[in-house]
Amino acid sequence: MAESKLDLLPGTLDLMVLQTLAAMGSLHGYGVARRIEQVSGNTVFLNQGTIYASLVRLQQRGWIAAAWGTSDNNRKAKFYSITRSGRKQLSQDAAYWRRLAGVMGKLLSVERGGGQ
Amino acid sequence: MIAWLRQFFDRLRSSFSSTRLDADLKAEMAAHLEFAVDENLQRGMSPEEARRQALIRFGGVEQARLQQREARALPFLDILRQDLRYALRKLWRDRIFTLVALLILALGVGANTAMFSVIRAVLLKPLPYSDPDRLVLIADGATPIHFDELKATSRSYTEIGAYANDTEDMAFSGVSAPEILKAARVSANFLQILGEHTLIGRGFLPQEDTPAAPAVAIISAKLWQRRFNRDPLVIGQTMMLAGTPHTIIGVLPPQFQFPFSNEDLWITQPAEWSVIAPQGRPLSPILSVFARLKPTVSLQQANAELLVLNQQYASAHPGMLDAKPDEPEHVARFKESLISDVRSELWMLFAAVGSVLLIVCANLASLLLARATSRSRELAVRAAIGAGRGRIVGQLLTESALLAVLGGASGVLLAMGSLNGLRHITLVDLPRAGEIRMDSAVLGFAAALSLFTSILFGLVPALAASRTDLAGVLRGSGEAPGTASSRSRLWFGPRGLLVMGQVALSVTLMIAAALLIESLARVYRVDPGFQTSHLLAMNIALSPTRYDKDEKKARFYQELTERLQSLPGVLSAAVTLKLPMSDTWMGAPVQLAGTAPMELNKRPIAIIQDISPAYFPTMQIAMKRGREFTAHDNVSSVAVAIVNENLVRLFWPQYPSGTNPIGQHILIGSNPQPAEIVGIAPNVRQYSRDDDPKPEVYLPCAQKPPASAMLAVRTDGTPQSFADAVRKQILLIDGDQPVSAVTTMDEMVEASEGPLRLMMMLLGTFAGVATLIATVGIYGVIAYSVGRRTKEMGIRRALGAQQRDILSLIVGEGLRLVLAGVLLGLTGAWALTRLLQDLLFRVSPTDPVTFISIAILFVAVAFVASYLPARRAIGIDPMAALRVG
Repeated sequence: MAESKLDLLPGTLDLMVLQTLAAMGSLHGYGVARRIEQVSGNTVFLNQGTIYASLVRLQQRGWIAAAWGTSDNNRKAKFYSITRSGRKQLSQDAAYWRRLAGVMGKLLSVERGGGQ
Repeated sequence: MIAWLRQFFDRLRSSFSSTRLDADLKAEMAAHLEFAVDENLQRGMSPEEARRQALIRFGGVEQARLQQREARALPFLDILRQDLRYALRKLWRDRIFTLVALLILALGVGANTAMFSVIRAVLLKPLPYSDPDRLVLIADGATPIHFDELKATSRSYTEIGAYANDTEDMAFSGVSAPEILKAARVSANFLQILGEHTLIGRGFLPQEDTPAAPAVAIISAKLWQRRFNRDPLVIGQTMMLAGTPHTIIGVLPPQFQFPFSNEDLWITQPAEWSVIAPQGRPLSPILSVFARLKPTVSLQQANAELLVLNQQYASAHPGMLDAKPDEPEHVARFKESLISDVRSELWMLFAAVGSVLLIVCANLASLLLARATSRSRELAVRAAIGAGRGRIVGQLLTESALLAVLGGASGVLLAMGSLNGLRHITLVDLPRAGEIRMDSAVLGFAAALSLFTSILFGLVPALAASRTDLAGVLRGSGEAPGTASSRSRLWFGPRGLLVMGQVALSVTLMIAAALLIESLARVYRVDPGFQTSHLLAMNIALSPTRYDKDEKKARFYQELTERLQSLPGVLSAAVTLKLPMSDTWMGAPVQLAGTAPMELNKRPIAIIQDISPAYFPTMQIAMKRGREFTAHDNVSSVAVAIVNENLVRLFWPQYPSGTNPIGQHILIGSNPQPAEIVGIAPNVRQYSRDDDPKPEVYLPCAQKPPASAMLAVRTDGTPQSFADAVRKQILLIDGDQPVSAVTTMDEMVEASEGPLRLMMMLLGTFAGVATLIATVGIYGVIAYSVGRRTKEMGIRRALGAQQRDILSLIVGEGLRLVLAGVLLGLTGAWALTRLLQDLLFRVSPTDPVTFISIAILFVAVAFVASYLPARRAIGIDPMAALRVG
């Protein structure tokens, strides 16, 4: 079971999408999904279809913008890019995650230490 | 917050552009899969494998679509839309049900909305003046001296003013179409007291409130529009009013109505009300005194002060008519005094329409219950394929809410239509009628009412319907929801209770209406004391400058009556100060001459009529004793009077035996010269048929000609058809003499019974509607019960029950149901009809005949309503009935 993929915590997918778009610039839905899978080293369990609920949610909050365009291999696709308020949100959320991860890390290590 | 709002509206928008967004998403997902397939092909997969892998990685396409749709829009809105669409389809399919429901809902909501807009405008809204709560009425029958003293000594008010108790007719002459205008006499400060301003021009100045000042007038916006074409240059122009040039100094705003509702113009000097002869004015209690309370003074303090001031006045002027040491007057908020006459009636009508609405709700609830029963299979199927109870209740509530919204909207339209009619009702002089309108508060009321009704009539059936015995219904043998168990069969369960309530409310309304109808019938049987048909009536106001001498007035009246009597078709014509059935009468204190003089305010008050010789024949009043006036009773002859029998009984209680009043003398008003009684006339109802006759004195018009009078013309045809001929004769005598209020005596009689007739019409209509709806309700519940018990009837028939037994069984059940409602309604009426007391005429509010007749009526109605379904029950073929199920 050690090899089983990670289930996403609620809300984490939105942050991943934001970060991906911040790092890669304009991307279509498939691109975002593939990028997340690649970066996570295929450890994240992602039904690619779920990306679209996240995209529309971020769009309605004004954090990303969407426009139809043409891909490198000449396919029509909807391209997403991060907006200014999206970047602001990303930095806030990223800072929050780092703090939370740090706290969790410390807490878990103390727990282990106490056990020895 | 902003972001949240933005998101909400975005989602809202998304909910309404679903099709486009779905297409968009579909294209996007298709592109996604193509990208994945391309990549897999590049990795060397076969085309089938590439597509299979792409689909696996994507997850469920439909699932992703739903997820996205939920994220982008408002899911509850989607459900609502679905429910609405379904409800519309359902209502459309049951068109007859929908039509009936909408019709009675529109009636209920419409009547309530119309009534509420009246209540709001007349009773609830503050008067349209600044700080209206500080506007008070101090006295409504004060003499000029009393007013002057109140003004000088009271300390509770920032400003105190007065107006003459009624309008006066003023001839507007010197123009192409002379007419009679209604003028209100007010003190110069009336606008300051109200805190109002003129539309153009200015208000009165204090120095303009004196006899010596040049005459000025403020005109109404209506008159400005009608006669001056809204010309702003009207300010400073003069208009000839009652023979005197008046300078127009201002125009008041269109909605301004004070102190009456029909005045065309305002003039100063309230004490100089021309209806009373100049010498009588100082002694006449014709002023209403009103004021604005100081901010620091409470109503109680003002009242305490008024009590003291009035006592001082009474002891200083013991003989004045308005010195009433024994009847203390009160300071009243102006609004209260304005609406006190109509308040209880309006609330009563509101309660009546409220009852109608409750009946409507009960009825709709019954209808929906019945409908839910017939839909039990459909609901069971929905429940079986996974609809939760909340979803089913929601669906049913959506249907009733939709009904309520549609019914409410039609109700508002109905109310708007009826308001137009209501504003023009002439049966009663409703105060503040001009303020009645559909405003946001009224619409809000209608919306709240519709919502309330939809919950009231929708919730119970919805809850009942959702509690279905699923398996049973689907098997086809299950009991339908709302079925009465044997225990509750006696009252038919909730449906029976609903019918009982409807019957109870209808009975109460019916009794109230019947009492009013009975009152009106008794009023109709009252002999007014004169012949009302074929009488034409109109007002004449003579100009006090051109007719400055009594002889001139007398000559005008004489020539007029002579000319009219020579017209073909005119049997006789007469003038009098006020015809019977007018809305006002003139009174004066009277005393027997030769007895110890009493203070004026201790003497009995008699109605005074100045009549021309042909008055009694024209009215067809036959003298009891003595003679009528003749042309010889004029200024140069001895003062004479004719009195009615009621006045005679005041002084000669033994009448008709004992001393003969003919030849005796009486003192009238402040006139020191006694008048000789030359005739005794029968009593006449002066004010209306339901008002008891008062003591009355007739004086010859030639000896005391009034400045304004009413003309009565007895014709041998339709009175109105003589109006033009009469008007022509008047213009032949004086080309500048207008007439007004041309009407017939029959119309005047009707108008005098206005409030009673209006209440009867409205309550009668409400009661009729209520009874009709309740009857349908009774029929519905019995028919439903019979329909459900087909099998039982079949068994009864098979076991030997005769048609008669079945009939009496079912009709008996109907009667039992209704009897309970009738008893409840009788009790309610017993408790409530005393509120009608003031309107009733010679009928007790608990008149047993009325109560019993209405009870019988309802039992009869119940009999018919349950007989029809019972007939159907007899027709049931026992074999067929038993074979079912």
